[in-house]
Order: sequence, then structure tokens, then C-alpha cells
Amino acid sequence: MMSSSSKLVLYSYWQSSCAWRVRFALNIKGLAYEYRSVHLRKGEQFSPEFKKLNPLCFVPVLVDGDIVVSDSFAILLYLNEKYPQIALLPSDPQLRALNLQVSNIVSSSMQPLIMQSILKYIEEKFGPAERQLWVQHNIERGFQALEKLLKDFASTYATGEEVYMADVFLAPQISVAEMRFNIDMSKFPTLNRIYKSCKDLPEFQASVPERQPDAEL
Amino acid sequence: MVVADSFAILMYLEEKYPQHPLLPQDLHKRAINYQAANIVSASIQPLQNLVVLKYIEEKCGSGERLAWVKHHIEKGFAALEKLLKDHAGKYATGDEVFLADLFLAPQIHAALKRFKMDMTEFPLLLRLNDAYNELPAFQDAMPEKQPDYVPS
Repeated sequence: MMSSSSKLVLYSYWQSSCAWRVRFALNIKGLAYEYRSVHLRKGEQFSPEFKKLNPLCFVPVLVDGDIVVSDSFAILLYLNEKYPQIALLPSDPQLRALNLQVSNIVSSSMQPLIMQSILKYIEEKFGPAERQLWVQHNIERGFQALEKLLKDFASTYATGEEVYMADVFLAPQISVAEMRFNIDMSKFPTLNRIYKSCKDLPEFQASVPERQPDAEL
Repeated sequence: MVVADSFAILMYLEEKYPQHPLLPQDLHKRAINYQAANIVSASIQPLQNLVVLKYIEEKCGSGERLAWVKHHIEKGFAALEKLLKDHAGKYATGDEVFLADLFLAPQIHAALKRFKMDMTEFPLLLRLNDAYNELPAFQDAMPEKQPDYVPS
């Protein structure tokens, strides 16, 4: 999996939930890749070399030959089109739309409001108690919406019996909510069940932060 | 069938009604479109929506609110200028209107009209804005033309 002759290169940080999504997806699709660490706590994302790859200074970034793709949502759509084996989106139009909607709720309505730089700002301006309230409010709001949305669709995974894009976005977000922000997931039984199913997958287990080459344990 | 979320809706429409495609054929250009769309929808828009702005304003006043908005829009716009530099034609990723334009047009409009931003640092986006303003399809979609428009 980690050979310099691999075509795909993933710039990642072990604790980034956005990079986690891509690691999980690459594993599901059976795509080998070279892992390149960008140490976010040390500020490596601001280096001129990395800024050239992604001017927003975020991970993940995928490099596929000449093609550089930033943003996990864009990366997953690109991967799904370029390497169609083991599809990340179902063929049914309603379930496809549902997967995109779930992915976007996580990637636009939840994660951007609780990423480290935003939380640092909230804490600096308003204090640590307010930061926790902000985090809790935004995570629970998102999870409540997702719980309602998926209640009638989820079985083993978010939208049926196969892992799709919705699961790829949900599982890392749920893990971070639980482990980093102490959110009580028992309030969201459907999401909790989906998360448990993902945790049983070797592809998910290989993608967890603690198993990455740059993990600091 | 009910579809919610602008991205999901656009992809649904693209697949169900393939006339006048919203995405180019070339995989690389498609990826540029997806990235531009997500810069707007994940890195700019969530940080300028009313709920968040109201929170900032209530806590620190309207000066802070404006500084916050400007910071996030400028960061996103700078990234978009770089991303699209080698790909733009008449529109964001070539000479046809594609997904990226659908996300850019309202965002640039909001930056100029709602937040009164100085966009001289973003010449490509300003040029695109002029191109969008010529399109009847864009003009018809403007907030001011909608049935529920309320002048503020």
C-alpha cells in the first residue's frame, strides 16, 4: 500500500476527519496509495510547497499523476468517476441523492463549523465554555437532521446493505464527535448503528487515525 | 421524489435531464468543477449564513461580524482565483456554464451586494461576474426576481 511507485498520493494528517473520509474510501475501492503526512499542529499546511497544492491549506489533497484534487467531497466524486469499481454511489436516483445530501450535511453544515481554526477563534473570543457549547450545538443539530433523514432508509449501513458515500462521511464524523467532543451518541440510535457496522469493516479499521503512519500515540 | 441540498439537486438534475450538461466530459475539468463548488459550499457559505453571523454579532457586535465574513470570503476567493487561473475561459472552467459557475455566481453576487466587498484583488471572479450578469438564465434566478422577494 505504501510504495513510491503507487500512482495515487494522498496528503493527509492522522487526526483530520476529512482526510479520514478519503482513506476509508480508497480502502473500500481497493486503491493503493502513498501516504504523505502534513503535520497540521506544526503548521506544515502553510508551507509554500503545500500551499501550491492547495491554496486553502487544508488536507486532504489527492495527486493522481498530473491531476491534483483538493477537498474530500471533490476527491471522492473524482475517484468514483475515474475508478468506477466498487461504486461509492448507488445507481438508484433517490438513494444517490440521499448519499450526496448526507455527505453535504456533514461536509458543509457540520465539519466547517467545528474545525480547529474556527474553534480556536471561538475559544479566544468567547472562552472555553462557549467553545464547547458551540461544538455541541452544531454537532447535535447536524446529527438530529441526519437521524431523521436516515431513519427510514438505513439498514446495515446508511442507505442500505452496501457502504456508500454517506457512510464514508458519517463514520469519521461520528468517531470525532464521540472521542474528541464527548457527544453522547446514544441520542442518535440510527447513526450509532451505522457507525457500529462501519467499525466492523477492515477497510474502516485500516483508515482510523491511530493506524496511520504519522499517528502520535 | 423529493431531493434536498443544492449539490444533491444539481447532480440529480444532471443525471435525469442530460440536455445541456452541467459538467464537462473531461475528468480533470470535472474535478475542477467539484472543487470550485465545494470551496463555495464548504469553505465560504457555511461561515456566512445568517445563523452563524447572528451569533457573532450578538456576542461581539457588527464590526466583528463583518470582519469574520470578509476573512472567510477572501480566503475562499483567493483559492478560487488560483484554482481557476489555468482553466477559465468565458466562464469558470471553459466557454460553457458548468457546475462551478452555478456555485460562483450567487456567491460573488452576495460578496458584492450583501457584504459590499472590494473585489479588486480577484480580477478573474470580477470578470466572471460580468459574464454571469449577461446571462438571462442568471438574471431570472436573482433574488430580486423571485416571487417571495422582500426589499430590505
